[in-house]
Amino acid sequence: MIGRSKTLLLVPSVSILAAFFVVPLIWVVGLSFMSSDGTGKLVTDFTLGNYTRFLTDAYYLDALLWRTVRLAAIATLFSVVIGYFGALAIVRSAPSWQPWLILLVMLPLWVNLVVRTLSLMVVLGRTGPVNQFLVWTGIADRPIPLLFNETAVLIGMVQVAVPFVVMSIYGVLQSIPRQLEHAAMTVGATPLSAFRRVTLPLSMPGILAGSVLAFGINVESFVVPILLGGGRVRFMSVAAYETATVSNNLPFAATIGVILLVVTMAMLALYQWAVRSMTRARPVLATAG
Amino acid sequence: MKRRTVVKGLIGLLAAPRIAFAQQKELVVAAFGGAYTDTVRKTIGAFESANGVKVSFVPASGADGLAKAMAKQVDVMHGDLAWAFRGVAQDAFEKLDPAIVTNLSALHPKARFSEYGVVTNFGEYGIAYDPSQVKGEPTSWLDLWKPEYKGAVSTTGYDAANIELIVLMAKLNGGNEDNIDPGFRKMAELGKQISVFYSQHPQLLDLFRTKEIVMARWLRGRVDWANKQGVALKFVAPKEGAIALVSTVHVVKGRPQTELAQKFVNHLLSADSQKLYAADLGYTPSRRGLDLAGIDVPYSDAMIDSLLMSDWAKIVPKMDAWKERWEKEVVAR
Repeated sequence: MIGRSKTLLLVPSVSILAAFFVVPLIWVVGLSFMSSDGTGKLVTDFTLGNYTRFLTDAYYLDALLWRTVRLAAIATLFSVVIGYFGALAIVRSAPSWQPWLILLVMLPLWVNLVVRTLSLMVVLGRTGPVNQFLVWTGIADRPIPLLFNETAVLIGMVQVAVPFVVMSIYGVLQSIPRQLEHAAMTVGATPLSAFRRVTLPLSMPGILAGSVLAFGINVESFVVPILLGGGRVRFMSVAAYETATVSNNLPFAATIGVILLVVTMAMLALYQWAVRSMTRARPVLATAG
Repeated sequence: MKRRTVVKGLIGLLAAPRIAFAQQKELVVAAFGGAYTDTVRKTIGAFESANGVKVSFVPASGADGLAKAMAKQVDVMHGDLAWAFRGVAQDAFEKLDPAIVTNLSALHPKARFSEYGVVTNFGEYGIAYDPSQVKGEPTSWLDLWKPEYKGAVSTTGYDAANIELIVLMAKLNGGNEDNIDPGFRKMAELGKQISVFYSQHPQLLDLFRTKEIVMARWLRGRVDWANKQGVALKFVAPKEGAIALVSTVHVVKGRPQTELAQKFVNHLLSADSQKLYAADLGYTPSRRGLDLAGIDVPYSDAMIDSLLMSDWAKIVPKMDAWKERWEKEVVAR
């Protein structure tokens, strides 16, 4: 009885995933092994040509794939650090404040991403507040180019990912009893080492979830590199889109998508495995010490 | 038993709208959406009542539009020259029938680029510049290459108008659509001048507003728009010719109402519809001999003659390879 109702509960999610994710994905993978004649007409004969074109060209490997993965990873690192401090600050604030602080974190998500990114362009622009501040304080003698480079794209990606990281870490931090840290301190730990050896390891699942989420969002960034990269910061998602809509080479666009998916999945698997084995090793070290 | 009823019910639900549609003739038109569709919609009432048909619009152009045409989901498709020739190559369109599309004979010859489609209106890409920052009026596309404006000029990423620019540069340097290398060599120099390839009109407006950009390849209509937004810019059509922005329209093959679709194309080419393209959108009508008094849009045979419009039948098969060259030679530093 219970078994059957559980299966029933899975039906909506599984059928939605199958219809709108798995089936299109199979189609995209199949497409990536086809080719297109010059006018965009599909040639359905099996070919590895798209993969050869991508994987044997330094432009696609370095300027596109490596840049996408590298920027996404760096942005994830910043997002997790910033998000962790944010979540910690919220958890340690007065309980009556917490819902309001959470609301503040969620607020940006209610504004359209394009609008948020465009406003970031105003902030980072030559006459924007950041540059005005830098010039006013004398840190820079004239406005510095903050826009249309990799740094701008990084800032944009961090801005997008941080709320998600805060939410996933906040949930975990909230469930860790404060008494654990107090107990550590009563047996001689400094507040810092109590945090490092008690709270931080216990909040690892939140960090893991937050960073996986952040990396997933960053690696498929689309609006941010288009608007903040100034057309120079090439990104996999943008390249796939343009290959489909401008060059009209759907098979090659599909190949770019599949390669991004495979690389992302491999990196996430590796990352989860690394984090898991690190946290599993910790208690052993503790007993040995 | 029960399961079968559910399935039957679902099939019924899916089939119901088709039955409803069958009661009145319907024409589905893929158009660019936004203000463009609003303009076309203005004159649609007369066409609908004259032909006893309901016209509905779906916002789709480019890849999406052609996909819908290939799937036979639309009767009429809008596009540009690249999508037009792709559609022709993929056998997506009916030939326009001059016996139904009688307005064809009233058009500028440049509009009749193929038997399978027609240009409904032209826009102009030229040079937009900030007169407070640029000394004298630019006269040539090559002014974008002037060293004194390094870092302060802009164009878009790889798009149809930049392809025209590549072809123009090839032609000015001894090449053409079939010998594009000289064009890419020249565009690589322009790439070094550019700090940002814009992708959105509001983005370029902001770049002009903050004086990060003083000169850019832009549309005449957009410069008027910028002036209304309080950014004082001027527009010039370079002496080599402004680059044509064309809107094409096509009758989709294999749909039940192709004759009506032909009539609809004829309607788009009628004097009333054509005048609205100028009045509401600022585009130059393809139709000759209209009275556009009081409408500030360039309109003459000479102006349309001067527009740069390459041989897109030759370009389309090369667009994918050129895109890769653009990224490697023009965008990459």
